[in-house]
Amino acid sequence: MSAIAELIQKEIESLSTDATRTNVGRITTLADGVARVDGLSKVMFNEMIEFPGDIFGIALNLEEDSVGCVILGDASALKEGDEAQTTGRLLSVPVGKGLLGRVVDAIGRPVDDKGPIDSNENYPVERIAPGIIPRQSVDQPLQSGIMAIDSMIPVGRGQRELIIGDRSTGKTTIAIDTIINQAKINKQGADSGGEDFRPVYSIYVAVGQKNSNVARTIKTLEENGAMEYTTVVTAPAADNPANQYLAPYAGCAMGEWFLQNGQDALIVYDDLSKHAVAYRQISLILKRPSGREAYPGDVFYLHSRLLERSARLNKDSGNGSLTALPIIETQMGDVSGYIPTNVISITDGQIFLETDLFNKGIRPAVSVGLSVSRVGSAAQVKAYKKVAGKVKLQLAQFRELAAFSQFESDLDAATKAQLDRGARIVEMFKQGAFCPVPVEIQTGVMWTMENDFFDSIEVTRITEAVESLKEFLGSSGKDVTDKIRKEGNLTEEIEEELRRAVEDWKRSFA
Amino acid sequence: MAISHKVRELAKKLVQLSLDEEGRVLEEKVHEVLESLRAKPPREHKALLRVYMDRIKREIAKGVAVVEYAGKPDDSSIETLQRALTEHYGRGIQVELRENADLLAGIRVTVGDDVYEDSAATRIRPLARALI
Repeated sequence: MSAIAELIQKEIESLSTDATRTNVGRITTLADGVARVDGLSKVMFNEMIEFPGDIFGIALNLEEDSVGCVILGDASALKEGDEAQTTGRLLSVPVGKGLLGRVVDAIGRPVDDKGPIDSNENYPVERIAPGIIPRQSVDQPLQSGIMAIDSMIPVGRGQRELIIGDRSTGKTTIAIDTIINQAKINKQGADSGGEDFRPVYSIYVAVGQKNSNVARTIKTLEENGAMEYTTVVTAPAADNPANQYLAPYAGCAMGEWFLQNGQDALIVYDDLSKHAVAYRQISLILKRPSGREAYPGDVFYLHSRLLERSARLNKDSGNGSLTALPIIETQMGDVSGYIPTNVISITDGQIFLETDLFNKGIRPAVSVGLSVSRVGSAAQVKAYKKVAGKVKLQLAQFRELAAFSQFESDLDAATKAQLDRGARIVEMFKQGAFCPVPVEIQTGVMWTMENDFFDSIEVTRITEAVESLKEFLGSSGKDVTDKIRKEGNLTEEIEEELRRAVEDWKRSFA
Repeated sequence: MAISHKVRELAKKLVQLSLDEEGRVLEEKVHEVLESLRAKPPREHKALLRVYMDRIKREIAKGVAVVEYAGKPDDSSIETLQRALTEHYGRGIQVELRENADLLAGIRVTVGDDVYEDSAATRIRPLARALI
């Protein structure tokens, strides 16, 4: 009772004698979640429009006589002739740490039955990306925990690395693995109490996905203890295209809060192909001129303005970062499609996943030839760089030789050695889903491969050997892996200690 | 049916021909426009008339302030309001009074698509939302 009285008291106190001024219009047509409104002569682009019954929309098409509004939410309650009024606000979403552990929709409303969001700050969903002056080049690593990626296609904080591949090739798994790995590192960092430690918070944006898939992803994150560092923004397939169009921008605004407050964040856009499709749908209904594949002319800008908002800021600007992992689904492995080429050209590299490799059991199915990280190598840990330097070339040579060797019966010793090494590297990189490996253990495994310890083991037993070595380095060999993590470099002393540890493991494994 | 750009442009010109120097719609001029169209019907005649009508309605609305009230304001207040609106919009504004009990108390003035409101109903709306 007292709470209600307080609420009314507050409302009375907030009453002022000023008249409110609004700009109104009336719905003339309403179809497919888009309303054409007559009037609204003073509306701003991207302004929130209020309709009866607490329904909001965004003004996307400002024409001479009418305004095209995309309805957010259930448009079935609206009808022709209903009044629409301007709000004077651009669409904004709640931001801050109160969103961690929460699942929200495209406009930041909770959808997880955990009560209201604990946030008193809002950021507009559309924002201009940081300019040249506050930026700094990428020089801090962001470990995915996936050996094939951390060794060959390293990602740095503030980078935009595209994950691209056909359906069911493990794109989402790589993104989720990376989120889980950040949570593990965050926990480790919090336990160690290091002052310099900078946690990475994650935002997972699900666009146009099945609700069951989103629920499974959330469950995976919860089971692996990653949800407490993660915000999930969801605009599932059943949602209207406006929400699907807005979700990545809303997620980005949430990530920008960390960027602007000197913290690090990772954002996954899963996936931008569906995002482009949702935008195409909206544009066609708004009667915007269509271009290639019926996408509107500004479909490049749709993604470039989103991904440009990921950045690494310099110390004067707070030293924050926002790393983006956009996902694109290809059709029949065709990377030369319209949307894939657009996003490839915007990002700082791509991880290409091949269906053939996936079906052969090589998982993660990373294609070495087509994957690249344009800026990440500058961010790679020194110790890791030392042992992983040659592996990409070795693997690429192996793939090439393997194709030719099918026709050759008699191979020279050098070629045979290259093939043997390549086959072992392929086996070494096989890794299960949702079990990221810490970088110090990855370094140990890579060092073991580079120093020929796996050569005497049958190729078919390499995966087993690698798993055994990982376990060993995480338990008996913990001293040396701790040193690698702390030092960040492979000194002669550490290398000698590592050699002894690996010899111990080899004896026990044999 | 989609209305062509040409029709829109023509309707815009016809509206200009229907206004006096102060930007008010004159009935005689509208008659003249309609007669000339009847004499020489253009292509998409019906669509043109529809757009013309919409635009004329909008122009008329720009010169009329619909004042809705729950309790009738006195004549001097209405005069002051009319003067202020004429000054603000830079054109002659006619006041049209309408009683609206839904406002509970206060006043709402609509000029074209601008709405100025100081009523109890507006104040209570956020409170009602918070309590639902």
